[in-house]
Amino acid sequence: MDIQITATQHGTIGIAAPKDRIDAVNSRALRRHFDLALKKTNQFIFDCRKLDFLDSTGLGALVSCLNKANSAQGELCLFGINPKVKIIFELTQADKLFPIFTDMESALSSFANRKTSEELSQ
Amino acid sequence: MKTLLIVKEKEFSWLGSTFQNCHPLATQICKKPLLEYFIDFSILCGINDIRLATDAPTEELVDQFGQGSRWGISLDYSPVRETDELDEIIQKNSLYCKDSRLLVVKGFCFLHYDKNIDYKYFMHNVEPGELSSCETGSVRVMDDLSQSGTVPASDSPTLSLSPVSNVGDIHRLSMEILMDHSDQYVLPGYNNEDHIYIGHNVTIAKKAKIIPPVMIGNHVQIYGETVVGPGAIIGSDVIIDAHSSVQDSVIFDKTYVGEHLELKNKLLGGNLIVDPDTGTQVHLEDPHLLSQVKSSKKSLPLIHRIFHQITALLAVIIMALPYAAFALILKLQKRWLNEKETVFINSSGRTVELVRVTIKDDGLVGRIARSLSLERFPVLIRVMQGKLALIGSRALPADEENRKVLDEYQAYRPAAFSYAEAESWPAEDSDWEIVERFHLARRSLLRDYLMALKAVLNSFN
Repeated sequence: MDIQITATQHGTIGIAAPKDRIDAVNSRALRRHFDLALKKTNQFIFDCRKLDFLDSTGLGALVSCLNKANSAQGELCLFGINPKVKIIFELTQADKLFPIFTDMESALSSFANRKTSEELSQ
Repeated sequence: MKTLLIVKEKEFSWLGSTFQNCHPLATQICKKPLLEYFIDFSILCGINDIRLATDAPTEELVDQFGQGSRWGISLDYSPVRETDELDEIIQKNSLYCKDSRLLVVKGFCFLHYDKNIDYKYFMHNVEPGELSSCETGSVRVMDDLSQSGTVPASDSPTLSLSPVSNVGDIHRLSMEILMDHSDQYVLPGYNNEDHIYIGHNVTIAKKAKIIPPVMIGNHVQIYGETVVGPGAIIGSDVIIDAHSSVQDSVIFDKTYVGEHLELKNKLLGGNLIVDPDTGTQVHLEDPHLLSQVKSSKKSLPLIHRIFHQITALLAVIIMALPYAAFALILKLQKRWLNEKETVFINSSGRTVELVRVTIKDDGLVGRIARSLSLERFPVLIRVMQGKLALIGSRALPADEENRKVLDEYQAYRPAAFSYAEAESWPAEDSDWEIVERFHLARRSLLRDYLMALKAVLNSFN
């Protein structure tokens, strides 16, 4: 799964768009691509509109990406989660770990808000 | 007065068979099958005859509910066509409906009533017509005797219908009953504390927290640091692993809930989890999160079953001629009595109807017939069908008292011949159950063969 690095008005953001499912088969590839992308940016948005399912390995991979982004003083958020994936997030309480938004605009503005609040605190 | 329940398959086809793996009419609302609510209400109305008219297969229901003997009523089943209207169904069941007031419940719906109210007077005197209806059903009183009632339908005591048209309705009804109306229905489980219903053999870890209202089934294990409730309905044979919480949720039978999970406003059974608000269903693939609990009950290995069935088949072939001859002679002498009896065929309460033969003859013919075990012939046919074992427990009649016995008798395996019989244990001695349990725990193919032989030889003496 490729992670595209895009320059936006809010900075350089890595956008991942997983398709179908994240599971034991492709979670290793996700981790590898994420590690490569982390060298270019520390802000990530996962576009989950085409994600239908994830198992515990897939969820583990997502949490690992989140931890790595946080360790690099960055952030990772998700948007467009379908109801099936939402149930898995609720059940495992992963919804409490990830910032989850309904659309790309809200996800992007969350980065902007964070940046502003960081600038103010400095 | 009689009850006629009319439910068409198309009304509950949305439910499929995936969710609870049972007949839709056995769908549980607060751990009680939907059909049982109708039976309870009929009993409150003083009705002893209930007929279910449906175009769906009823084998599973017959297995589970039998002929209603558990409730002391008569429950039977009548086939209808999908296209049949109410008038046609009444006409087809005219013998049943004749000369009687009829309570007709039509559709796949839930009937709200109050067990504390005596409905007998109202039902026998209300004006014929519709009493209540909802989007998916109606309840009405019909009178074949052309008697008009003296009580208007508007004077009805607590009686209303709710639609059951999606998974959300099952969740909503279960929660409503548990939270606010549990005193209106007879619900399963011990209820020593307000709003807490607990089945038997429930293990709750010291550090688990139970917050009422909750309803917990039989053989449930709740591990440490779990929070169950408020609003938790947990089925039987369920394991809730440590650090998980269950709130406003229904967990159906035989489900394992893994560690650190949060169940809020959900329905789940096996590895299927459903959001009642959206109807979204997910089959989880990770057995350590959610999975089906395999029954711990020892099922008869295939080879045992085949041995029992083949032996029964041979016995039936050998006995067929003597059976026909002796039955004819003794019937002519009125010393051969056939009686139908419904018995439990497993510890979860499934039933089957048996023909019990009594030979009332102490003369030579009767003694020969008995020594050849001819009275077992109809039971051996059930063994051939795989409904009973050749040797095992005594088949217990399906009644409330024996239902309680079965709750503590998981190894129960009814048979044509019992181990106690093989051991010549007196029928009136209460220790026969101990003898049966002893042998059931140690059964093997060879042992069964020898014990069956012993039981047959005993009948010669």
